[in-house]
Amino acid sequence: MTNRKKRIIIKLLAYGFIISWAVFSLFPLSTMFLTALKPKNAFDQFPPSYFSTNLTLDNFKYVLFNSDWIKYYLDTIFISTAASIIAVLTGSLGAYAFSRYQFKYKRTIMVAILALQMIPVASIVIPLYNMFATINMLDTYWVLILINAVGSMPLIIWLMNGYFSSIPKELEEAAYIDGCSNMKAFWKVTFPLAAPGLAASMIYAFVYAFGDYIIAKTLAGSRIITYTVGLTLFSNQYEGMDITLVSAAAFTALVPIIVLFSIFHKYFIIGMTGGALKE
Amino acid sequence: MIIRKKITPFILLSPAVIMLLGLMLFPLAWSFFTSLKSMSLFDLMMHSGEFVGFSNYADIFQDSNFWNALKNSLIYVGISVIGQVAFGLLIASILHSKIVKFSGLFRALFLIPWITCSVVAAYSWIYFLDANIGFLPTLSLNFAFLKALGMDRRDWLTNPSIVIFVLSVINIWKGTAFSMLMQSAGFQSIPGSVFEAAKVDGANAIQRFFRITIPILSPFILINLVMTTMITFNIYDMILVITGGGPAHASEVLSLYVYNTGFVNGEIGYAAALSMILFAVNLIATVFYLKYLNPRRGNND
Repeated sequence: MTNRKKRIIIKLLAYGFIISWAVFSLFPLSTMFLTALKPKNAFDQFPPSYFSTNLTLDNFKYVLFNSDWIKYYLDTIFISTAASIIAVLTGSLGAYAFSRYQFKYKRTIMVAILALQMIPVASIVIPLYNMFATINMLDTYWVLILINAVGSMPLIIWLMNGYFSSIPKELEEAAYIDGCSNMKAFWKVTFPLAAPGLAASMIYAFVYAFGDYIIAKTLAGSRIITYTVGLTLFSNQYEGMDITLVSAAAFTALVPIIVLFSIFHKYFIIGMTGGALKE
Repeated sequence: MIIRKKITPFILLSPAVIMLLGLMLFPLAWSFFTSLKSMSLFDLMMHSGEFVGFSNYADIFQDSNFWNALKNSLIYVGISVIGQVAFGLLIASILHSKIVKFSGLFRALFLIPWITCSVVAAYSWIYFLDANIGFLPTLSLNFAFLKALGMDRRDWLTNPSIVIFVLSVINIWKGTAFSMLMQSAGFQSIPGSVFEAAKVDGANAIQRFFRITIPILSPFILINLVMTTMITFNIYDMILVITGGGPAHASEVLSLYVYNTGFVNGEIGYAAALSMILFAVNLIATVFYLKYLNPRRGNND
């Protein structure tokens, strides 16, 4: 009897906690969504009418069709895609070298690359600004593409090294014996087997670049505007009054990440936890 | 053929290494040399700046804003890390134990704040807490129990004595899912048979938790603690958007202080010295991590 009571109490506590955490998790973002669906005048009075059923899609329409938002947005997607392609290509080439070849200072170079990842952005953002100002490349696509690619590269090298190392060398050697060239053996044998790692790296690099704010704000921001910077411009422009528009814009920014996440759930998690979790 | 075999790995590595050297190591070295100079934003443009040795570093110890930022970082990192790891552990253990139904659905819901990028998350909280138009203050007008809990206050982000705690809670909101994932992996590594054996031997739930669960989870918890600490210590974009460090430095953490010193106050030399301190903290943590905790150490040799 007491045992059963105890079990019920534990069950109630567990449900209570899990449900409150779910509410806590969703509250700010769902109120932002609600705000995005409100007409502007809902926030003219105090208290604002959050609870009226007066809903509209005008804010989304305005943001997507009548403002610069869509340009910021497409620019960001372009930058993130380019950065992730560069990061994955160069990173996995490097990782392949680590996993398949023996060479001098291999261990030292590997540890150095891991250590590079620990350099905080705050420590290098001023010198990066100075470097790119000197060669007159501030406010270009290339600055953001390169720096974001480099930012995600160390982790990709480590992640891919793990994947390549888990593929037995003998498989490639068998392909040579069957008459494949070096390149062909890589494309036909190693590449498909490493594909989950590549997918995880690609997603990690994309999300890394897509979420970047500091680099985009300091090294670009007048000609090339990413959506994160655009969002702050948006809110300043309207002195915080038009929170309906900012909310609508912010909400559209969530969409690609949610889509990536729901389709590539597993690789997303492997990438975002740096391969610490391989399911 | 032999030579080709010898240089191949270096050819494969060179694009990555060149980029990493040019865009990470070189800037870091530049920061170090700049930290030995007295340099303003104007000097930076003019490529001048007087060599002053370690006097920037000496100034740091006299700088009350530095100590304030360090204190804020300790509060922010301390609360965030303890909160994220503890709640992550709690959530992971509840979802793993199958006490609640729909655990997959809850898990997916809990991941949403984590996959939201910082700037969007920042705006959702700014609007949630805003004095005039915020959802929470508005809601508190209508529900007495929220008022009783003190949720009707309007100075969440403008009161210097609570703002850093509010930001810590926001960071717990954002980051707990990462800990949940790490701890879930830990739980999955516990074979069910161990529990059965302990049950047969007469161990109760509390004994099982402390004698089996915690020891098996401890490496996961430790890695989780180190990673979360470093991420929280270094990342400041959410604070930059929400408060910018204000009001009056009340929410300025160390990494944000480096940024503000350089880009807002234009004291490049001094900011470089501060950034070296920030880097040193990371270096110590990295060495510690590689030496004692590296999870990948086993499978690379």
